[in-house]
Amino acid sequence: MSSLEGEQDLVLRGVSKRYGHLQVLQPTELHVRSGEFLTIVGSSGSGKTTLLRMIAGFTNNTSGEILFQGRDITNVPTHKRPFNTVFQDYALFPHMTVAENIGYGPMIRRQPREAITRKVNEALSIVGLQKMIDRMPSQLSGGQKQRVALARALVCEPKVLLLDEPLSALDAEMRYQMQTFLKDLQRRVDTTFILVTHDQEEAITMSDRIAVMSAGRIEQVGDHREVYYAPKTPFVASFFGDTNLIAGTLTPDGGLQTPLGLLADVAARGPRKGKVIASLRPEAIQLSAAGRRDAGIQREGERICISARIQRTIFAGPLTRVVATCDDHPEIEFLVKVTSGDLPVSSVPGTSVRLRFSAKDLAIVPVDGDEAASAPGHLKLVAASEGAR
Amino acid sequence: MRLGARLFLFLIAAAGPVLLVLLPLSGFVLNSFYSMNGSEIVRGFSAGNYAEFANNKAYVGVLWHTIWLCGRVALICLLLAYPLAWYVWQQPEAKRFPLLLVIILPLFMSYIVKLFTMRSLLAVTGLMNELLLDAGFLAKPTTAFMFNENAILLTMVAMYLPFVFLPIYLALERIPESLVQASADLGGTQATTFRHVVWPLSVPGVISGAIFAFVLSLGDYVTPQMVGGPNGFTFGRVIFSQFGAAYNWPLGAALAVVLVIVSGAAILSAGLVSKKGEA
Amino acid sequence: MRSSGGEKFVYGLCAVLFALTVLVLYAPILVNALLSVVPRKAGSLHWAEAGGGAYLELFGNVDLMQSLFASVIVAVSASVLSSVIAVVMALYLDSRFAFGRRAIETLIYLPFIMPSMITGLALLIYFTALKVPLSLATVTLGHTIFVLAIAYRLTSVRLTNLSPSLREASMDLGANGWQTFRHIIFPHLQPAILSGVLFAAAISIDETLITLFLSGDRMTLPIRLWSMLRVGFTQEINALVTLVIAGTLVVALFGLRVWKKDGKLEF
Repeated sequence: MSSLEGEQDLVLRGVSKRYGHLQVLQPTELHVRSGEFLTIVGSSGSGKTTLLRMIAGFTNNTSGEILFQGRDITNVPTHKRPFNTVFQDYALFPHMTVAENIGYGPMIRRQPREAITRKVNEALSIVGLQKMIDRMPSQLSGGQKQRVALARALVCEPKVLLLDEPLSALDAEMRYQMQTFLKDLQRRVDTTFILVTHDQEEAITMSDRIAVMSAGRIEQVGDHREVYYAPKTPFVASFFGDTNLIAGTLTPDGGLQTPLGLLADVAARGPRKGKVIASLRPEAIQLSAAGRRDAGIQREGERICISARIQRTIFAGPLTRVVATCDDHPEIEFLVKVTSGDLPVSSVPGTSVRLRFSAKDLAIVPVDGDEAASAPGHLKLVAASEGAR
Repeated sequence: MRLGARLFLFLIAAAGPVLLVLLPLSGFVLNSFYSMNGSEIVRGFSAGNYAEFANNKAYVGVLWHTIWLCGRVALICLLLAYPLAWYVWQQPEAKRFPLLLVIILPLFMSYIVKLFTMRSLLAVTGLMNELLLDAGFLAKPTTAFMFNENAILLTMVAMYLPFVFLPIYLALERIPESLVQASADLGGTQATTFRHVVWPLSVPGVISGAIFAFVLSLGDYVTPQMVGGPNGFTFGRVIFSQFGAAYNWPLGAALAVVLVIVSGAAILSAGLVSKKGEA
Repeated sequence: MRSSGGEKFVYGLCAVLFALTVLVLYAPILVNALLSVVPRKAGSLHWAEAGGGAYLELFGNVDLMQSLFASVIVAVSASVLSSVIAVVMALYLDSRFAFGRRAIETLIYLPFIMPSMITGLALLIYFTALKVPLSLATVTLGHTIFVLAIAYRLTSVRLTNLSPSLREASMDLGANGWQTFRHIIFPHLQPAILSGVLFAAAISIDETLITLFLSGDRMTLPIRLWSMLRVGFTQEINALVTLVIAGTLVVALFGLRVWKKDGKLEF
């Protein structure tokens, strides 16, 4: 493995955390590449903050080791690790000015005063807050405090910058601005960033790679295309954006058998056999009027077409829920994306429609017995997205 | 941190309190089990002192009487302190702290001086009598308020009032403004709001205050000595006399332990009552 | 909110009660101040002879000044000593490594809650048994453990109010334990420490019972006053008492102002 590990890489091996009987973090592997923007994303209780705090050194790991630049730093205390943290509550020292806050790290390292002043000014100009240099933290707005916290961490020139839900306390407008700002900043300072958030949209817009966590486990690590189009678990499949989930089984020759019938001849990607869930993004579905000879599921090479009769539709902003019946099967509900005010076809109940998509757009995800969100033998297209917006 | 280092730190930290608090107190309790032989302290272990206390009607009687006295002190303090605390609480924010200061500051005044002042005020030739004479309430000066139990009562109330005031005020202050407003919004008058919202929520403070006054007055022997005269004999004086004229230290220690037990019981039962209220 | 007539009446009654109470509570200093300038002979006040002479005589009275001085030394020593111990204890008991926190805290609060007579007596027996001679030092020790409860409580509460992320941030930025204490924890604790010292000093100056038992031959102010209790106060004493009370009140006032610094009474 060492040939794949770069000089500056951070590696976590078999790292876990237990409080008494509570296993907060399962033994976990994570390999952070030098210079990348990695986001660890998951809902509360997923273990993401624990993981970050272990890297920083605030929490001790129950087992496993943490390696940096090939060295074992598991037992190195926080103040000696070459990492710095931007805290969720910013943690600015209330009795110090902005300049003193930012200069704290260099002051501790006993750097000469001129050097400190210079670095403080540099850091302030990077975050664009030069005018605030002599203010007290209580006089700053949320967004400004955040940038000061950033400056304070960056001025120490850390090898890895850790960010703990930095945007959660900001309003939507500021959040968007900060996302862009952070992304640019990371490029400019050319430092590894590890950011923890519960917001799937943040994760997907800012990072080079994303680690998705649930219940103390990393479910998948990959770039945004991978986690969005090629999820490896049902959790990841429903975490990012909205999707349609279809329960099914893979036949010996790779076909996808669903309660609606054989959906696809050859499953494009994923495992070879067993119970699966297929994830189909709403934007991949084309909705149109049905032809007279359309019935059930028709397959033509990679093209798949489901014919159904509309029962009702529910408008949900960028997406629309369509409840329909396919032949004699019970109602199914699916999400489609519409690009104009009206559905491309009449939505009067009783209208026959076609759903067309490509087999390539089916992301096949294996499930364990009880993991299936849908009951077997009962088609349920799970429409809701689990990632927070 | 390793267990050894933790133990070491613990020993250092505990050293002070143990050496200067635990040991003296244990020694004190130990002494209560000794006995006197003439003018020598016999270091034999015996519960004789406690037996003497329990069997001696005089001792027990004085104890009960003292409890009754201190109970009255606590009650009077409550009756006075509550309206005062309520009054300060009713003030606008800005005025509250100065008023609070005014009531609390006297706590820092010399105990002896307060005692002495009360004595001169209440005495036959004191200020109070002068005022009553001038106002025509009395034909001649009264001795009703000095060198007896009334004197002890009044003096203790004057001394301990701020102690009772503070917890009541703090409890009142903790009541969220929104609750009072909600009660008014639902049609309650100030009286109803007080009865159903303010009073119940201030009870913990009232209990704390009452216990403060009770325990403090129970252990106060100086006041009874100075203003109680021959009639105002409290348990505290009994204890002290064992260390003075009567010269029976072990007995004194035993009696003091009894006093501590009574105080402890009062504190515990107050704690239980307030917990029950919270449940 | 508008009040009814009945409510106004109750309010007015309370205001009167308040005024009366203040009079009674402050009687000690008022009366003494009055008597220090207006001599009282044969039961009546001789207004004509009013003057500040008593104060001048006071400063010439070596005895009294020595007692006062002794009390001040004890008060300063006890308050400083108890503050140092309080900070150390608060830090130790707050850390993850401490066990027996409840027990040690009980021992710290105990001398303050128990009747001071008992604390004094217990220490007297203790020191006698250890053959430690009674002196200002023993008085100081007695006072220290007595006021430690206040100093500790104020410091401990303040420490709890320090957000843990501030400590983590300091370490994250490269500071070790000592540096974090010096730059972050100690500045945060300062108001509590200061008000603790001030309160402790004010309390110590007029603490009588413990002093009574532990001073042996040394004369401190409360002992002086105590011995005068039967005889009556001279004008000099009136003057002294007025000054001491005034001083104590000023110190306590500062302490209360500092304590309230962030607008909250933390207890």
